[in-house]
Amino acid sequence: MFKTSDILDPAYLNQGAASLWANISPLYAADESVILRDLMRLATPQGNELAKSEQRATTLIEHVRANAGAIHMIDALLLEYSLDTREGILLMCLAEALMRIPDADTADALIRDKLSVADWKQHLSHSDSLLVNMSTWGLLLTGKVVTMDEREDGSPSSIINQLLNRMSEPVIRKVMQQAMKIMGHQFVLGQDMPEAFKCGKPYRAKGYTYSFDMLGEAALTQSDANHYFNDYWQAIQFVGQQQAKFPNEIPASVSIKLSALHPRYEVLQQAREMNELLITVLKLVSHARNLNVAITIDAEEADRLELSLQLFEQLYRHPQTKGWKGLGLVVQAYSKRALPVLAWLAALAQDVGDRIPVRLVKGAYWDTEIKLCQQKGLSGYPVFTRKEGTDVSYLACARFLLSEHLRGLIWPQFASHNAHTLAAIMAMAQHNRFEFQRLHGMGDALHDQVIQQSGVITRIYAPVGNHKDLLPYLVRRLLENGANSSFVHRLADQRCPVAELVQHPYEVLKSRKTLYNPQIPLPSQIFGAQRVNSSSPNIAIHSQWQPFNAAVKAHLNRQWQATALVNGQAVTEHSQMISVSSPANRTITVGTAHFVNASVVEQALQTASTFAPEWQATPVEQRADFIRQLGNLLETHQAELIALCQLEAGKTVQDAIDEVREAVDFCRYYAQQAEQLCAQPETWLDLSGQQVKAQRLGRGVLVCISPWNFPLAIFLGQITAALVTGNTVIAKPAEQTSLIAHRAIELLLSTGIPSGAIQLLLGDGATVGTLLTRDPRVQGVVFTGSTETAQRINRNLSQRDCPPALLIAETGGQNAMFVDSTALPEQVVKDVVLSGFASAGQRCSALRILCVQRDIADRILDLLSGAMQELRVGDPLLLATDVGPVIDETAQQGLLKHIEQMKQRARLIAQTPLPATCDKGTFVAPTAFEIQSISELGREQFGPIVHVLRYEARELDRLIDAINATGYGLTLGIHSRNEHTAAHIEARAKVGNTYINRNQIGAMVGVQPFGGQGLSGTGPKAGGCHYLPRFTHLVALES
Amino acid sequence: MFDNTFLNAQHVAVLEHWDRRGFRSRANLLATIVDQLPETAELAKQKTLLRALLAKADGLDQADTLLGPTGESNVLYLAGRGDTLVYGSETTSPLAILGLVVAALMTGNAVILHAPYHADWAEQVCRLLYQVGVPSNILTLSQDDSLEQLLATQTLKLMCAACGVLETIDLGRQLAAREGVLVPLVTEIDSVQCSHLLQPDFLWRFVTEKTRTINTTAVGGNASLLALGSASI
Repeated sequence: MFKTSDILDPAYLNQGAASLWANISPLYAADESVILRDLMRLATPQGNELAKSEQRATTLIEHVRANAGAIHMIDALLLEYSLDTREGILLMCLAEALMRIPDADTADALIRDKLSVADWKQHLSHSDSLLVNMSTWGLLLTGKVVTMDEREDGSPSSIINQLLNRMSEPVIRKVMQQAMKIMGHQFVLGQDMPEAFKCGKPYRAKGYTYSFDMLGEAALTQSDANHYFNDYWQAIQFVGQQQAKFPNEIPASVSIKLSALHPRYEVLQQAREMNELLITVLKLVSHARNLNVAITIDAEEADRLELSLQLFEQLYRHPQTKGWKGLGLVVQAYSKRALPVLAWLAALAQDVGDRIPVRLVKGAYWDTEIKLCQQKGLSGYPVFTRKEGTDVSYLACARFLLSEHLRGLIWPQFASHNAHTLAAIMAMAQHNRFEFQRLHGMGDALHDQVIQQSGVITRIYAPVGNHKDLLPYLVRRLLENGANSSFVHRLADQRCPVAELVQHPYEVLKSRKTLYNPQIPLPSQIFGAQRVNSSSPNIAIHSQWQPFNAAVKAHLNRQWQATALVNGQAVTEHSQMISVSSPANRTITVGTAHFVNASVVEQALQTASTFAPEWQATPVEQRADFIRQLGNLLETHQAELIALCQLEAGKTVQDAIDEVREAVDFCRYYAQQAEQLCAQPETWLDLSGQQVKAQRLGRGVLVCISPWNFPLAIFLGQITAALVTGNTVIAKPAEQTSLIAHRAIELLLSTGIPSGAIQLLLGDGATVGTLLTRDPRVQGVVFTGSTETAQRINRNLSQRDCPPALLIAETGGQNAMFVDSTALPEQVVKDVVLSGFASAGQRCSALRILCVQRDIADRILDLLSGAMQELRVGDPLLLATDVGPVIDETAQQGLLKHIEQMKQRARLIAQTPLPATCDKGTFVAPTAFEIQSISELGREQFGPIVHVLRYEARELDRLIDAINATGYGLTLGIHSRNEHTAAHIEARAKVGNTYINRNQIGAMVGVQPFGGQGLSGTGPKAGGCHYLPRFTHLVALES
Repeated sequence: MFDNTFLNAQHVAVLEHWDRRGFRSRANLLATIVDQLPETAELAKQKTLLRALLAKADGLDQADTLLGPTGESNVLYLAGRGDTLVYGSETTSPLAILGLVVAALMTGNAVILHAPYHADWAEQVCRLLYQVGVPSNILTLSQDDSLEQLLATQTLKLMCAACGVLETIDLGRQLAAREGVLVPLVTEIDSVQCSHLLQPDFLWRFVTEKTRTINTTAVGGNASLLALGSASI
């Protein structure tokens, strides 16, 4: 186990980089309290450090505050419109989107959306800044003008008001765009390198140097990656030329983002990264070395850390780099792995013999990290959950970086805008072999003071690029600066006492009741007392992937046998044995399944109906307990179930993990819901005013007919809902996924649940399904599958001479996504690819019709086409596979036929290449077509095919009508930064689940209750609070 | 025929507006008929039934905010299903028919009322509902078309019937024979006490559920999470 106390011992690094590497990954999500207790030892102020740092920080702050020019207009603006106010958030949203909108109408609508809903009046004359007050007046007036054509109830107002509004819109738009550019200028040094170099001259004269960053986020396509590569190349070239011209200036450097240089910079594509990306970066490194321009590799999301380090090592050890001290790396102190990473880097430098420049930052993706971990149900967070935890880590890392034995190994670059952090580093340092860094547009006055007082080199990280590329960067900066709690914000706020700003984070953290943040529950605890979240390994993290992969691999060569299970007994008589093969490779046999005949169906019906009264009378707590036990067993047997999902259903690794997780969530959610629902009798008054007291009881025998696309989750979701509410169940899974179903019921029976409660019948729908749905002993059917089958079941049920039975049917969808021109194209395309092609498009929720506003359609389609070329179709057992096979040949042939037909009448946008290895399985290449009208589509195509339709903004309502007219209503995606637009579409669309500004698949149990309307299903929604009551009826108790 | 009416854009727009009005607002509107109901032997019961049904509006209006991962908002709310056929058979009482009509309207649906054996009463009730402000596009009295014709209404989303048990079997068969959308059948077979209509969750069958998920980080929602990271607790 890694111990911070060891690393100050110079001998520690002698273990070598290879040995120290092993310390990094296990700390990914380690116990925060344990790590912080350890780090606090290193961060504890030594000797007079505490007094010195406080004193120095106080001086710095007082100087900054005394300097009238220190607070920029933008600081004053952010002070007034902090992100704790609605107005602050609205301004940030406007800044994020306005400049990329190409069409005037949508831009005007966005301005109206943001400015009309806020209370600008409350900010009037608040600020000491004349400019801020003038801006407030402007916003207030603009807010008034943009709503002039509406009355208070939203209805249109007078013609004069409307006219005035229309006439003023171009002016307002121009002013707002100009305002956003001003905000942009605060954070961007120049639109190109010559401009940036020119603008940086006054700062260079003050003694600053630069690290230039080319604006732009992760590349989605090879074309974008090439574009970013050229930008970096040119930047290096330019810096090299300037260095030659001005040899006396402190050399500038260039920062690069690996995600900008490869369209798939992801751990799951590691083989490509270690080959293609390595070659690309090596070219830049060689170029930079030739010109002696230092390069720093920026840090990105936590999942990419290990990959970035491996790449860095390859680069650093490469002959082209050997002997060069210019290749640097950024390390984020909010990461639990920060210190072991630094130790490893130092050992690597010692191994190779060249110094490594290391920029220590606090980290900029904290909110994303927290969100992703909660969504994925990971074991913990890779980052500290308190700001002071990160600050302690920063100082602990700083102490290590400043220690004497790192001399010549690491060149520390401390990036911070916090006066106390800078002061603490200066107090800690026994030498000045380091530099400070700050961001362009932030901390100017503070760092001016530092340069004057300490003489330490300060480098400005300066984004260069056009305003369109600035937006995501700008939002990150606004988030950093705009929160009331941020140091930059509090520094500008004269009301904030200096003493509060100079508290040592060690002291602050020590004063907290817990080292972790109790307001941020662990991913497993996000549902509070209700239930435990299902868990998952993070397959991007070596220490979690390795044991997980080994456990799954142990099952990959097994042969499974599946039979019907009637009264707990395997039924092999009266059955037909079917060989089961993998859809990814039909030459691989996975096992055998015994399909039953009519006599077994009768046995199952007899058993289920005989046992129904006893099960109905079983206390709900007992029933729930069996279901909870099943949830726990699914997690215990996660590896086996994942292997089965991959082999029998062709699921990719992540899809298989998600499948098991969803099943677990269903068990826990329904168990909790049932206890809440059934524990106590319900009461109400009858028409004569008498109280009726009634108990919820199961209906009797329910048949659960489930699909192959979620062979575990939907299968068990239906069954557990029915069982926990007191119904006996006859389960009829899809014949394609009989093995998974059988194993799941074995696990269920192993909980000790009475064998009369659950019967499993394997077989085809025509034999088993028809017999079951025509039988009067059945009180209801829960079905997920095609609309046509649901209709057949309904007819079968209705033919019986008994009162109508319960039918809950969840069927397909012609799911659309609306994208207007305020949307962020890169985010849209990521979500389109995921929504349309994940799971080979075999999800009820999958995207089928992408509707893009014409003004941005070309860009979106270019990106989509490029991103589709980067998808990897193939063996789902491989981590790098994005898209696996479709379920069988029938499905494949139907989809291929549709593709051929569409090729005749629609424009093919792109089709992902299929490798030759796909020949042995049933694969369909992800395909996108451009169509002219919704009417070109027939029935739902259940596979990786997306149809794209351009629309004019003014045609939005007609398009919503057309989508509604298809009759389907399952999921809908909306990408728009205009909240009014999103709300309007959502309200008008006749769909069950709407997802705004994200992908439209992967509904979480209890969080996004799932189900549609119209042709997409009857309701109630699975995984929602109205689901279980439909499985019961209320029976009046005797008074 | 109703197909023409219901497929036209005006009907769609009026229905959307009706649905968006909210359960409480519709309930308030419908409540105004309670004291104006036509005199019948079961008037007192009718009033009690309507009051009990309309009292559920607030519960139905309440959107559920669902607990989930940070950075997203998830809300579950209810909406009307759409065009609803309310049928009152010969064997039933106006009480159950009235209950179904009011329940269907209050839950945001458009109603076609077919109660040929209670024609006069149905006409009076419809007139009353129009008088208090129920739009004519939302409530249609159809006594002349046959039940079979009405069951063929293309846009039908829900069928409510006040009838006997045997009739429900027949209605179920007729509905199942339709092409297209599966139309649920909601029945009140207790025409004397309306014991089903009064059950706590009965009105859920008149509505459809909608889930709305917003990635709030795309519109500044991460600011509050960041503030949480700096909380002084």
